[in-house]
Amino acid sequence: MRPDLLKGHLDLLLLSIISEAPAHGYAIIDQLHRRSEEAFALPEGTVYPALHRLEDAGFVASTTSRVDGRSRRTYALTGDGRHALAERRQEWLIFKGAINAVLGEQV
Amino acid sequence: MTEAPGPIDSYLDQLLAALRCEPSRIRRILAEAEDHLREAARARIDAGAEPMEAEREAVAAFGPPALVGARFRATRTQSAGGLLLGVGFELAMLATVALLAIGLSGGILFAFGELKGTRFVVRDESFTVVVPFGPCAFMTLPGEQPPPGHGAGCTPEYQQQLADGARTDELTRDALLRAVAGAAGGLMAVGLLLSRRGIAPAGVSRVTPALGAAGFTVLALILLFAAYDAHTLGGYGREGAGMWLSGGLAALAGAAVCTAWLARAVRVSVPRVPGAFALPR
Repeated sequence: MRPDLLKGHLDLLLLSIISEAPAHGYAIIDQLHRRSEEAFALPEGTVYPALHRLEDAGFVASTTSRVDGRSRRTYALTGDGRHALAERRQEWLIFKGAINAVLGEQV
Repeated sequence: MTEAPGPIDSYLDQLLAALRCEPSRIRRILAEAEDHLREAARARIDAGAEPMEAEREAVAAFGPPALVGARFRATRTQSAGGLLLGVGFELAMLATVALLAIGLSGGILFAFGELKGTRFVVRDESFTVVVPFGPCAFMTLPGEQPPPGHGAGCTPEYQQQLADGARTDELTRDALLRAVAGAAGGLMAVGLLLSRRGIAPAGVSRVTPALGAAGFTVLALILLFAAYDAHTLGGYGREGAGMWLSGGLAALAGAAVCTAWLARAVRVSVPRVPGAFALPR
Protein backbone atom coordinates (compact mmCIF):
# COMPACT_ATOMS: atom_id res chain seq x y z
CA MET A 1 0.00 0.00 0.00
CA ARG A 2 1.29 3.45 -0.86
CA PRO A 3 2.61 5.32 2.20
CA ASP A 4 0.82 8.52 1.17
CA LEU A 5 -2.55 6.77 1.63
CA LEU A 6 -1.77 6.76 5.34
CA LYS A 7 -1.33 10.51 5.34
CA GLY A 8 -3.88 12.15 7.58
CA HIS A 9 -4.85 8.88 9.28
CA LEU A 10 -1.67 8.06 11.18
CA ASP A 11 -2.67 10.21 14.16
CA LEU A 12 -5.97 8.32 14.49
CA LEU A 13 -4.18 4.97 14.40
CA LEU A 14 -1.58 6.02 16.97
CA LEU A 15 -4.18 7.51 19.32
CA SER A 16 -6.23 4.34 19.02
CA ILE A 17 -3.31 2.07 19.94
CA ILE A 18 -2.18 4.28 22.82
CA SER A 19 -5.75 4.50 24.13
CA GLU A 20 -5.68 0.77 24.96
CA ALA A 21 -2.59 0.99 27.15
CA PRO A 22 0.42 3.27 27.60
CA ALA A 23 3.24 2.07 25.38
CA HIS A 24 6.69 3.04 24.12
CA GLY A 25 7.50 3.79 20.49
CA TYR A 26 8.68 0.35 19.43
CA ALA A 27 5.63 -1.34 20.97
CA ILE A 28 3.28 1.15 19.29
CA ILE A 29 4.89 0.57 15.90
CA ASP A 30 4.87 -3.17 16.47
CA GLN A 31 1.11 -3.02 17.15
CA LEU A 32 0.59 -0.91 14.05
CA HIS A 33 2.53 -3.45 12.05
CA ARG A 34 0.73 -6.49 13.42
CA ARG A 35 -2.79 -5.13 13.22
CA SER A 36 -2.33 -3.79 9.69
CA GLU A 37 -0.74 -7.08 8.65
CA GLU A 38 2.25 -5.16 7.31
CA ALA A 39 0.06 -3.10 5.00
CA PHE A 40 1.70 0.24 5.76
CA ALA A 41 5.15 0.47 4.20
CA LEU A 42 6.59 3.53 5.88
CA PRO A 43 9.93 3.98 7.64
CA GLU A 44 9.54 3.27 11.35
CA GLY A 45 11.52 6.38 12.27
CA THR A 46 8.88 8.59 10.71
CA VAL A 47 6.32 7.49 13.33
CA TYR A 48 8.24 9.25 16.11
CA PRO A 49 7.75 12.76 14.69
CA ALA A 50 4.01 11.99 14.66
CA LEU A 51 4.16 10.92 18.31
CA HIS A 52 6.01 14.13 19.19
CA ARG A 53 3.43 16.15 17.31
CA LEU A 54 0.62 14.48 19.25
CA GLU A 55 2.44 15.28 22.46
CA ASP A 56 2.97 18.90 21.43
CA ALA A 57 -0.79 19.08 20.74
CA GLY A 58 -1.51 17.74 24.25
CA PHE A 59 -3.17 14.52 23.03
CA VAL A 60 -0.57 12.24 24.61
CA ALA A 61 1.82 12.66 27.53
CA SER A 62 5.13 10.86 27.91
CA THR A 63 7.20 9.65 30.83
CA THR A 64 10.70 8.20 30.87
CA SER A 65 12.06 5.16 32.66
CA ARG A 66 15.24 3.07 32.58
CA VAL A 67 15.09 -0.29 30.82
CA ASP A 68 18.22 -2.39 30.24
CA GLY A 69 20.30 0.69 31.03
CA ARG A 70 18.57 2.70 28.35
CA SER A 71 16.15 5.59 28.58
CA ARG A 72 12.66 4.57 27.47
CA ARG A 73 9.82 6.99 26.78
CA THR A 74 6.29 5.72 27.29
CA TYR A 75 3.25 7.47 25.82
CA ALA A 76 -0.19 7.62 27.42
CA LEU A 77 -3.43 9.20 26.21
CA THR A 78 -4.58 12.44 27.88
CA GLY A 79 -8.12 13.69 28.35
CA ASP A 80 -7.78 15.91 25.30
CA GLY A 81 -6.41 12.93 23.41
CA ARG A 82 -9.48 10.88 24.30
CA HIS A 83 -11.75 13.61 22.91
CA ALA A 84 -9.58 13.93 19.81
CA LEU A 85 -9.69 10.17 19.28
CA ALA A 86 -13.49 10.13 19.52
CA GLU A 87 -13.78 12.99 17.05
CA ARG A 88 -11.35 11.51 14.55
CA ARG A 89 -12.91 8.09 14.80
CA GLN A 90 -16.27 9.66 13.96
CA GLU A 91 -14.72 11.58 11.06
CA TRP A 92 -13.17 8.39 9.76
CA LEU A 93 -16.46 6.51 9.89
CA ILE A 94 -18.16 9.27 7.91
CA PHE A 95 -15.25 9.37 5.45
CA LYS A 96 -15.22 5.60 5.05
CA GLY A 97 -18.98 5.51 4.55
CA ALA A 98 -18.76 8.22 1.89
CA ILE A 99 -15.98 6.43 0.03
CA ASN A 100 -17.87 3.15 0.14
CA ALA A 101 -21.02 4.86 -1.04
CA VAL A 102 -19.23 6.30 -4.05
CA LEU A 103 -17.45 3.07 -4.91
CA GLY A 104 -20.66 1.09 -4.41
CA GLU A 105 -20.54 -2.47 -5.66
CA GLN A 106 -16.89 -2.21 -6.57
CA VAL A 107 -15.88 -2.45 -2.89
CA MET B 1 42.52 -0.33 19.88
CA THR B 2 39.22 1.49 19.46
CA GLU B 3 36.33 -0.74 18.46
CA ALA B 4 34.62 0.22 15.21
CA PRO B 5 31.07 1.57 15.70
CA GLY B 6 28.26 -0.83 14.81
CA PRO B 7 25.43 -0.04 12.40
CA ILE B 8 23.24 1.41 15.14
CA ASP B 9 25.97 3.69 16.49
CA SER B 10 26.81 4.86 12.98
CA TYR B 11 23.15 5.48 12.25
CA LEU B 12 22.72 7.55 15.41
CA ASP B 13 25.73 9.65 14.39
CA GLN B 14 24.13 10.29 11.02
CA LEU B 15 20.76 11.08 12.59
CA LEU B 16 22.46 13.55 14.93
CA ALA B 17 23.90 15.33 11.90
CA ALA B 18 20.48 15.42 10.22
CA LEU B 19 18.61 16.97 13.16
CA ARG B 20 18.13 20.73 13.36
CA CYS B 21 16.64 21.68 16.68
CA GLU B 22 17.53 22.61 20.20
CA PRO B 23 19.97 20.32 22.08
CA SER B 24 17.43 19.00 24.61
CA ARG B 25 15.15 17.88 21.78
CA ILE B 26 18.05 16.26 19.95
CA ARG B 27 18.98 14.30 23.09
CA ARG B 28 15.40 13.08 23.42
CA ILE B 29 15.14 12.03 19.78
CA LEU B 30 18.45 10.18 19.85
CA ALA B 31 17.60 8.38 23.10
CA GLU B 32 14.25 7.31 21.71
CA ALA B 33 15.77 6.21 18.40
CA GLU B 34 18.46 4.19 20.17
CA ASP B 35 15.92 2.47 22.41
CA HIS B 36 13.87 1.56 19.34
CA LEU B 37 16.84 0.33 17.32
CA ARG B 38 18.34 -1.75 20.16
CA GLU B 39 14.99 -3.36 20.86
CA ALA B 40 14.35 -3.99 17.17
CA ALA B 41 17.79 -5.58 16.82
CA ARG B 42 17.26 -7.73 19.92
CA ALA B 43 13.95 -8.97 18.52
CA ARG B 44 15.69 -9.97 15.31
CA ILE B 45 18.46 -11.72 17.23
CA ASP B 46 15.81 -13.61 19.21
CA ALA B 47 14.34 -14.61 15.84
CA GLY B 48 17.69 -16.10 14.80
CA ALA B 49 19.54 -13.26 13.06
CA GLU B 50 23.25 -12.57 13.52
CA PRO B 51 23.86 -9.50 15.74
CA MET B 52 25.40 -7.33 13.01
CA GLU B 53 22.78 -8.33 10.48
CA ALA B 54 20.07 -7.67 13.07
CA GLU B 55 21.41 -4.15 13.62
CA ARG B 56 21.63 -3.50 9.88
CA GLU B 57 18.02 -4.61 9.37
CA ALA B 58 16.81 -2.53 12.30
CA VAL B 59 18.55 0.54 10.90
CA ALA B 60 17.20 -0.05 7.38
CA ALA B 61 13.64 -0.36 8.69
CA PHE B 62 13.98 2.87 10.67
CA GLY B 63 14.50 4.88 7.50
CA PRO B 64 17.24 7.14 6.09
CA PRO B 65 18.56 9.63 8.69
CA ALA B 66 17.95 12.55 6.34
CA LEU B 67 14.30 11.53 5.92
CA VAL B 68 13.70 11.03 9.64
CA GLY B 69 15.42 14.35 10.40
CA ALA B 70 13.29 16.11 7.78
CA ARG B 71 10.08 14.65 9.27
CA PHE B 72 11.05 15.88 12.72
CA ARG B 73 11.68 19.31 11.28
CA ALA B 74 8.35 19.29 9.43
CA THR B 75 6.36 18.48 12.60
CA ARG B 76 7.77 21.37 14.59
CA THR B 77 5.40 24.22 15.22
CA GLN B 78 7.27 27.32 14.20
CA SER B 79 6.71 30.81 15.45
CA ALA B 80 6.71 33.69 12.98
CA GLY B 81 10.15 34.62 14.27
CA GLY B 82 11.39 31.07 13.80
CA LEU B 83 10.01 30.98 10.28
CA LEU B 84 11.72 34.26 9.41
CA LEU B 85 14.95 32.96 10.90
CA GLY B 86 14.68 29.83 8.77
CA VAL B 87 14.03 31.83 5.60
CA GLY B 88 16.95 34.08 6.46
CA PHE B 89 19.18 31.05 6.98
CA GLU B 90 18.35 29.64 3.56
CA LEU B 91 18.86 33.00 1.86
CA ALA B 92 22.18 33.31 3.66
CA MET B 93 23.12 29.88 2.28
CA LEU B 94 22.29 31.10 -1.22
CA ALA B 95 24.32 34.29 -0.69
CA THR B 96 27.22 32.14 0.53
CA VAL B 97 27.11 30.07 -2.65
CA ALA B 98 27.09 33.29 -4.70
CA LEU B 99 30.07 34.76 -2.84
CA LEU B 100 32.03 31.54 -3.14
CA ALA B 101 31.25 31.47 -6.88
CA ILE B 102 32.57 35.03 -7.21
CA GLY B 103 35.72 33.97 -5.39
CA LEU B 104 36.07 31.01 -7.74
CA SER B 105 35.70 33.30 -10.73
CA GLY B 106 38.58 35.39 -9.36
CA GLY B 107 40.78 32.30 -9.24
CA ILE B 108 39.80 31.37 -12.78
CA LEU B 109 40.42 34.94 -13.93
CA PHE B 110 43.90 34.93 -12.43
CA ALA B 111 44.66 31.53 -13.98
CA PHE B 112 43.52 32.77 -17.40
CA GLY B 113 45.78 35.80 -17.04
CA GLU B 114 48.74 33.56 -16.27
CA LEU B 115 48.02 30.98 -18.94
CA LYS B 116 46.61 33.02 -21.81
CA GLY B 117 47.88 36.52 -21.14
CA THR B 118 46.24 39.66 -19.85
CA ARG B 119 44.69 40.54 -23.21
CA PHE B 120 42.49 37.45 -22.92
CA VAL B 121 40.91 38.70 -19.71
CA VAL B 122 41.08 42.51 -19.89
CA ARG B 123 39.93 44.40 -22.98
CA ASP B 124 41.28 47.85 -23.72
CA GLU B 125 37.96 49.65 -23.30
CA SER B 126 37.58 48.38 -19.76
CA PHE B 127 40.36 50.46 -18.24
CA THR B 128 42.06 53.80 -18.54
CA VAL B 129 45.72 54.66 -18.53
CA VAL B 130 46.35 57.64 -16.32
CA VAL B 131 49.84 59.06 -16.78
CA PRO B 132 50.36 62.19 -14.68
CA PHE B 133 53.85 62.90 -15.98
CA GLY B 134 56.34 61.80 -18.64
CA PRO B 135 56.15 61.87 -22.40
CA CYS B 136 52.63 60.41 -22.47
CA ALA B 137 51.19 62.60 -19.72
CA PHE B 138 47.41 63.21 -19.99
CA MET B 139 46.86 60.11 -22.11
CA THR B 140 43.84 58.23 -20.81
CA LEU B 141 43.38 55.42 -23.34
CA PRO B 142 45.90 53.35 -25.31
CA GLY B 143 46.27 54.81 -28.78
CA GLU B 144 44.91 58.17 -27.77
CA GLN B 145 46.85 61.09 -29.14
CA PRO B 146 48.48 63.20 -26.43
CA PRO B 147 47.48 66.87 -26.18
CA PRO B 148 49.55 69.40 -28.20
CA GLY B 149 52.90 70.02 -26.58
CA HIS B 150 53.05 66.65 -24.81
CA GLY B 151 53.70 64.30 -27.70
CA ALA B 152 57.47 64.14 -27.77
CA GLY B 153 58.66 60.65 -26.93
CA CYS B 154 55.14 59.19 -26.60
CA THR B 155 55.81 56.42 -29.09
CA PRO B 156 53.32 53.63 -29.88
CA GLU B 157 55.70 51.14 -28.20
CA TYR B 158 55.86 53.23 -25.06
CA GLN B 159 52.08 53.62 -25.11
CA GLN B 160 51.70 49.85 -25.42
CA GLN B 161 54.07 49.32 -22.53
CA LEU B 162 51.96 51.65 -20.39
CA ALA B 163 48.78 49.92 -21.53
CA ASP B 164 50.14 46.45 -20.67
CA GLY B 165 51.06 47.63 -17.19
CA ALA B 166 47.62 49.12 -16.68
CA ARG B 167 46.02 45.95 -17.98
CA THR B 168 47.95 43.85 -15.47
CA ASP B 169 46.91 46.24 -12.68
CA GLU B 170 43.28 45.92 -13.77
CA LEU B 171 43.49 42.13 -13.76
CA THR B 172 45.11 42.06 -10.32
CA ARG B 173 42.51 44.43 -8.89
CA ASP B 174 39.58 42.43 -10.32
CA ALA B 175 40.99 39.09 -9.16
CA LEU B 176 41.71 40.51 -5.71
CA LEU B 177 38.21 41.95 -5.28
CA ARG B 178 36.69 38.63 -6.28
CA ALA B 179 39.01 36.79 -3.90
CA VAL B 180 37.84 39.06 -1.07
CA ALA B 181 34.22 38.18 -1.93
CA GLY B 182 35.17 34.48 -1.92
CA ALA B 183 36.84 34.84 1.47
CA ALA B 184 33.70 36.51 2.82
CA GLY B 185 31.71 33.57 1.45
CA GLY B 186 34.06 31.15 3.22
CA LEU B 187 33.56 32.96 6.52
CA MET B 188 29.79 32.91 6.02
CA ALA B 189 29.92 29.18 5.27
CA VAL B 190 31.77 28.52 8.53
CA GLY B 191 29.29 30.70 10.43
CA LEU B 192 26.31 28.90 8.91
CA LEU B 193 27.79 25.48 9.71
CA LEU B 194 28.34 26.49 13.32
CA SER B 195 24.87 28.00 13.77
CA ARG B 196 22.68 25.65 11.76
CA ARG B 197 21.91 23.26 14.61
CA GLY B 198 19.84 25.79 16.51
CA ILE B 199 17.88 26.97 13.49
CA ALA B 200 14.82 25.18 12.20
CA PRO B 201 14.23 25.12 8.45
CA ALA B 202 11.80 27.54 6.89
CA GLY B 203 9.87 24.91 5.01
CA VAL B 204 10.92 26.41 1.69
CA SER B 205 14.03 24.28 1.34
CA ARG B 206 13.07 23.27 -2.21
CA VAL B 207 12.16 26.78 -3.32
CA THR B 208 15.43 28.46 -2.38
CA PRO B 209 17.78 26.00 -4.13
CA ALA B 210 15.45 25.89 -7.15
CA LEU B 211 15.62 29.67 -7.44
CA GLY B 212 19.39 29.53 -6.99
CA ALA B 213 19.86 26.82 -9.63
CA ALA B 214 17.67 28.70 -12.13
CA GLY B 215 19.36 32.03 -11.43
CA PHE B 216 22.89 30.69 -11.70
CA THR B 217 22.04 28.78 -14.89
CA VAL B 218 20.62 31.87 -16.60
CA LEU B 219 23.59 33.95 -15.48
CA ALA B 220 26.02 31.29 -16.74
CA LEU B 221 24.33 31.20 -20.14
CA ILE B 222 24.49 34.99 -20.47
CA LEU B 223 28.15 35.18 -19.45
CA LEU B 224 29.21 32.23 -21.61
CA PHE B 225 27.47 33.76 -24.61
CA ALA B 226 29.23 37.06 -23.91
CA ALA B 227 32.55 35.20 -23.77
CA TYR B 228 31.76 33.46 -27.08
CA ASP B 229 30.72 36.77 -28.58
CA ALA B 230 33.89 38.51 -27.42
CA HIS B 231 36.16 35.73 -28.60
CA THR B 232 34.54 34.76 -31.88
CA LEU B 233 32.31 37.54 -33.13
CA GLY B 234 34.33 40.49 -31.94
CA GLY B 235 31.34 42.04 -30.22
CA TYR B 236 33.51 43.12 -27.32
CA GLY B 237 36.64 44.03 -29.22
CA ARG B 238 37.93 40.42 -29.50
CA GLU B 239 39.57 40.88 -26.14
CA GLY B 240 38.42 40.29 -22.61
CA ALA B 241 36.68 36.97 -23.34
CA GLY B 242 38.33 35.50 -20.23
CA MET B 243 36.55 38.06 -18.03
CA TRP B 244 33.14 36.76 -19.17
CA LEU B 245 34.29 33.14 -19.30
CA SER B 246 35.55 33.16 -15.70
CA GLY B 247 32.18 34.44 -14.53
CA GLY B 248 30.30 31.93 -16.68
CA LEU B 249 32.27 28.96 -15.38
CA ALA B 250 31.85 30.08 -11.77
CA ALA B 251 28.11 30.57 -12.33
CA LEU B 252 27.94 27.02 -13.72
CA ALA B 253 29.60 25.79 -10.51
CA GLY B 254 27.02 27.73 -8.48
CA ALA B 255 24.21 26.16 -10.52
CA ALA B 256 25.69 22.69 -9.87
CA VAL B 257 25.85 23.32 -6.11
CA CYS B 258 22.23 24.58 -6.02
CA THR B 259 21.08 21.60 -8.11
CA ALA B 260 22.73 19.18 -5.67
CA TRP B 261 21.11 21.10 -2.79
CA LEU B 262 17.72 20.83 -4.54
CA ALA B 263 18.19 17.11 -5.23
CA ARG B 264 18.92 16.51 -1.56
CA ALA B 265 15.86 18.51 -0.49
CA VAL B 266 13.66 16.47 -2.84
CA ARG B 267 15.23 13.16 -1.77
CA VAL B 268 14.63 13.64 1.95
CA SER B 269 10.99 14.55 1.37
CA VAL B 270 10.12 11.30 -0.40
CA PRO B 271 10.14 8.05 1.57
CA ARG B 272 11.81 5.31 -0.43
CA VAL B 273 11.94 2.40 1.95
CA PRO B 274 9.44 -0.16 0.72
CA GLY B 275 8.45 -2.74 3.28
CA ALA B 276 10.14 -0.84 6.07
CA PHE B 277 7.59 -2.09 8.56
CA ALA B 278 9.03 -5.59 8.54
CA LEU B 279 9.37 -5.98 12.29
CA PRO B 280 10.12 -9.54 13.39
CA ARG B 281 7.33 -11.38 15.10
